[in-house]
Amino acid sequence: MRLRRITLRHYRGIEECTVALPGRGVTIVSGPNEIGKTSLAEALDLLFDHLDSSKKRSVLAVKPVHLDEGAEIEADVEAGGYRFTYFKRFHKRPETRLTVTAPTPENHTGREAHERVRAILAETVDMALWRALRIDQGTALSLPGIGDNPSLSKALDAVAGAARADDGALTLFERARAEFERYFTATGREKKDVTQHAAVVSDAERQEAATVDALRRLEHDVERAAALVTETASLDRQLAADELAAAAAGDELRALERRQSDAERREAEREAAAARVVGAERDHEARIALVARVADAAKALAAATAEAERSDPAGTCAKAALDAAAQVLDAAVAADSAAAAVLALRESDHEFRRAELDHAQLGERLARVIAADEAAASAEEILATSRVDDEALRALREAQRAADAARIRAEAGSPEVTVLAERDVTVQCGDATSTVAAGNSETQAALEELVVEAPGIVRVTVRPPGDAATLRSAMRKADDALAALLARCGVDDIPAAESAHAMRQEAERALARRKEIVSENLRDLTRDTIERKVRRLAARVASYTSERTPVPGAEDVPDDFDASQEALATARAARQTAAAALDDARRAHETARTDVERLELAAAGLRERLEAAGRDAARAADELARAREDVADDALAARREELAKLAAAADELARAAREELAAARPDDVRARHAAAAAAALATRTSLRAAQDETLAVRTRLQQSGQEGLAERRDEIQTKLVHARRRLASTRRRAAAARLLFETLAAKRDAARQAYVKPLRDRIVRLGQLVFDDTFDVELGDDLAITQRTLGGRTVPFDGLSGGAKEQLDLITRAAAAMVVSADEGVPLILDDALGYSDPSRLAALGAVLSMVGELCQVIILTCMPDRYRHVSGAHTIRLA
Amino acid sequence: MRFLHSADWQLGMTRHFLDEDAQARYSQARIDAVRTLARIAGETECAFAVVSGDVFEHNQLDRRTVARALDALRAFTVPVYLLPGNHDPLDAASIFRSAAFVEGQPDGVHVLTSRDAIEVAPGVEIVGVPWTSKRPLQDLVADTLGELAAAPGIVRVMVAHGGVDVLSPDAADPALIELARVEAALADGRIHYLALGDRHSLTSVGGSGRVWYPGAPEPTAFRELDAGKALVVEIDGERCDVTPHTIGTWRFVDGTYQLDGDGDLDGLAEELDSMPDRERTVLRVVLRGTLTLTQKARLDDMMAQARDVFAGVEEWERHTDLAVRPDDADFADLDVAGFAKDAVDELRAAAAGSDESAATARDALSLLLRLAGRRT
Repeated sequence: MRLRRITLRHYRGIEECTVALPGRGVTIVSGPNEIGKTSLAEALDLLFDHLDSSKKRSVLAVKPVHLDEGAEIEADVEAGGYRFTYFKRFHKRPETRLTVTAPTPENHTGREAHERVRAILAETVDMALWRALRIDQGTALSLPGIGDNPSLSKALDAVAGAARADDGALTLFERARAEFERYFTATGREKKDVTQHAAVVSDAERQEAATVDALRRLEHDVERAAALVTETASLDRQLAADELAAAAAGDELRALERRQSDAERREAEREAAAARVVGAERDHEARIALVARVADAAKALAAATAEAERSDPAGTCAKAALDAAAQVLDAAVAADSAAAAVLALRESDHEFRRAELDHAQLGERLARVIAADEAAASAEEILATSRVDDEALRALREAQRAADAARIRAEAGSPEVTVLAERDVTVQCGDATSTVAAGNSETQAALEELVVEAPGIVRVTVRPPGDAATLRSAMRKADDALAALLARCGVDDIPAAESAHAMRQEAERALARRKEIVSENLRDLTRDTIERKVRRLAARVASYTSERTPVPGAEDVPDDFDASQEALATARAARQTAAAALDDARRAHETARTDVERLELAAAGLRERLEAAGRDAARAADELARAREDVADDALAARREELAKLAAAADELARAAREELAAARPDDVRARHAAAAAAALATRTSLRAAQDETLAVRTRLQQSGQEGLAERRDEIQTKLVHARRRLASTRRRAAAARLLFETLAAKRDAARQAYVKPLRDRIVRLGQLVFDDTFDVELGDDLAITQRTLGGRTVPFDGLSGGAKEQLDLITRAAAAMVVSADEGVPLILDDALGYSDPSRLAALGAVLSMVGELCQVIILTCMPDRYRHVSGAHTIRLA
Repeated sequence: MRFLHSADWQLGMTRHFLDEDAQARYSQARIDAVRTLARIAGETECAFAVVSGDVFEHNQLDRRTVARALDALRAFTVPVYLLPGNHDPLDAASIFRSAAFVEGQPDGVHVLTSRDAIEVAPGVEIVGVPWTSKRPLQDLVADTLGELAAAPGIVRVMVAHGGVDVLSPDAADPALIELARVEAALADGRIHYLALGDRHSLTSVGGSGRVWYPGAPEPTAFRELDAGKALVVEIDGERCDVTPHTIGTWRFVDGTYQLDGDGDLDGLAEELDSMPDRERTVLRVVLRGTLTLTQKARLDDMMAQARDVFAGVEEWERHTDLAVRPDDADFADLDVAGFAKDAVDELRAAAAGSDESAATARDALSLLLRLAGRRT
């Protein structure tokens, strides 16, 4: 659809205003504020949506302020193949006029015109979507764009739903959701509104079950009480009969008991008679036994005597063997202790010889140590006094050599005076006086002025030349130096120094040797320990021989250590032999002693038996004698016969009584009595049980019978009926709410999907024109752009720059405008009232607008047309 | 000689179709009925009153119920003889032996606990036939009659409870009263009147005119034919006049309605509006026919209003056959488009069936209409 012209007359503050629009491209409508640019978009809505008679607030709002006229709106429109002019006057003298010029001329007025325009639009435009879009029309392009502005998506929902989004009221969908949420949670579980009814029902059911159960028990008690009355009466009768029968049985039993006691008495008498017979027989047999015992005892005595006589010799023999063994044992003990004494002495001897050896060795080691210590002491003394060490000696030798050299040089430079004696003469040459034998000469160098005088004869003075003086002086200096060194070393001359140096070296060697000797001889001991050991050993060695007590076989100390060792080995062997012999002797002695004891024990036993046999024989004989004195053997036999006769009579009486008792059948009598008594007891027990139960049942009834159970059950059942009905009706309402909401939700989702895809396709196509082929977007459920992809990079909408968001906003709205009408779109009206200050952003938007303008009609309302100089090919209309 | 014959008070009875408030009023009405009986006994100069069984609904009643009953009984100025019936038999848990009853029993109120003849006025005897269990195994009346001999000069009234063989379809019940024996006893002068209880509808049994059920003094159920009455019996030698008196104030009304459009709904509304004593009327309706969603909503509103006015309104589900068919008229004023319209179409399709899911779909449509109608 394209808008070609729109005229407003008496519209709010506008007297008259006509804007003619090109059918394509971007049209910029400019003019100062308040001139009515924004009214253009609004007027379009009023023209298409409302009847001329409408009293809606939006219609009333455009009534001219100062004029008593109706607002008029007229537009030239192209839609599909249609071209028409549509006029409406509101408020006063309302009028609607439609003039269609193509494809075929038509004229309509009033309601008919309104309906015809709606029909044409419905034919060419998705009216619902357009209406949704128009809500967005004329509003500013604004940050943050459509993504955060839910108006389009809300508008689309409104299109799809029952209620108008601009009603501000809840849509049908929201109402259905609210109804659903009365009964269910977000996850579809029943809410308290429903479950509380269910709880009341189950509560009442529980109560009902409990009460019905209590009533059932009560009914049972009632029936039981009635039955118990009958039972008790019947038991009463039964008991009377049972007691009668029991009494009869008791009489019978008592007769039986009399008969039984009679039989028992007869039996006792019979037993007594029999017992007496047994006594007499026992007496008789005892007498016979006693006679036999006397004979047996005599026999036993004789046998014991014989045996005692046989056992005597063996005892004697054993005792002799024991004595011999004792003697052998004593000898073995003595030999063993002698060998032991020898061994002990030999061990001490050996020990003594070893001590001797040790003493000698340790003494030598100690002497060596002492000598070394002494040598060291004198060496240290030498070292302390002698100052001629290696260094000093070398210095001395050097000084000597220097002095000698100086003398030789001095002498070489001095005249030599030779005195040749023609005769013996005493010559004083310098300070020295000597006698020179005739023919001899004496020569001396005149190092300085030298006076040679043969006293009284001649006096010759020799004076050396001048340069000799220098040499002399050097010579004296060297001599002085030597003398000083000697003095310091404490020696007179070089040989003395060399001797002193040799002594010093010897002393140092002695000190070194001492260490060696001491460590070699002391080893791990100290000198003190060695000294103590030596002293101890010396003492032991010294006293041993004098203190030793010789024993036979070891009279003398062996001569040396080896001899002592040999003697010790001999003594040890002798001792072992003696000890073995002693062991043998002890065993033999033990055996002999055991034999003797055994035989002595046997002999004692025999003696006792013999004595006992003697006593038995005497006692038996005595007993028999006394018994015969009491009753003679014949009398005993006679009494036995008599008692046997009496017993036979008692036997007969007892048998008769027993037979009489058996004839009365006592088991039957007792059984009859027991049965009768048991029956009576059982009946009495049953009766008592019935009485107890009666009492219990009546007590229970008295308690529960007055609780009003039946009435309560009826009340609960009524409550239950009501609660069940309430629950069922609530569930029914809940099910209806769920079905309605779920159906609506499913349809709404499907409807949205129907818009989402075309819208997205359009946005992508436009975006690809504006940006490049890599442009892509994702739309969320609410139709908002959630992310944009460009050059392979995907950025969430919120992460985009403000400029990019504006561009997407514009593209989205243009896409929406085009989706509304498949071929030519609908006019996209934009209001930039807020303006844009960023020039680079305006440039980018201008490019987008140019592009969009090629596809659908774009109308921009602005007071600053300059902002859109970047929109190429834009048509500008200036409103005065 | 006149006496009052009533029965089947069923005190302590609960009716589940009454809500708490209506139940309280109903219970009170039945207590009031006792006082009305007392008043009539006095006004008609009765010598005594007999209640032929089922004075109480159960043996196990709340103390307060018993106390209120005894309090109402004090209104009698003549002796009253109460017979234990099948609801309140004289068994081990008998209410007539309960502490509540024994402690509150007024002087003039007697319980017929045995079959011994009692002289209640000079020349007048009562012979009670009390029930001692809920299920007697023989015809108690026949047994008692067998023990009686004719007593010339004495008017004898037998007070008994239970079904009579000529009226009862359950011939196998051993406790049924054999009418032939009763009529024989009436004929040979052993008794002169049999005051029966058990049927809640006023009924004369047989052709003697001396065997009567007075019915319950307040109606207790829908099926009762002529309830809410008591009898004043005047008996003298050969003459026996029985006069029913109206006692009850409540009504139990059954109604069947064919509903096939707004006209029928108008008729139903009119009928409900014109019913008298609605606060004491319990209505049981059977609804049949076919309604649209809108009409059903209207019906629901009407029934809701009726429930507010009547003592009770019960839809007799078992006999109700009411179809709800959403039609175009329901949706004519509904301005929905887009997905909402799709949803309506789907729900309408689902509502066409007759199963439970279709019923839910109809409910959902009703809800939708209600929600859409809330628009301003």
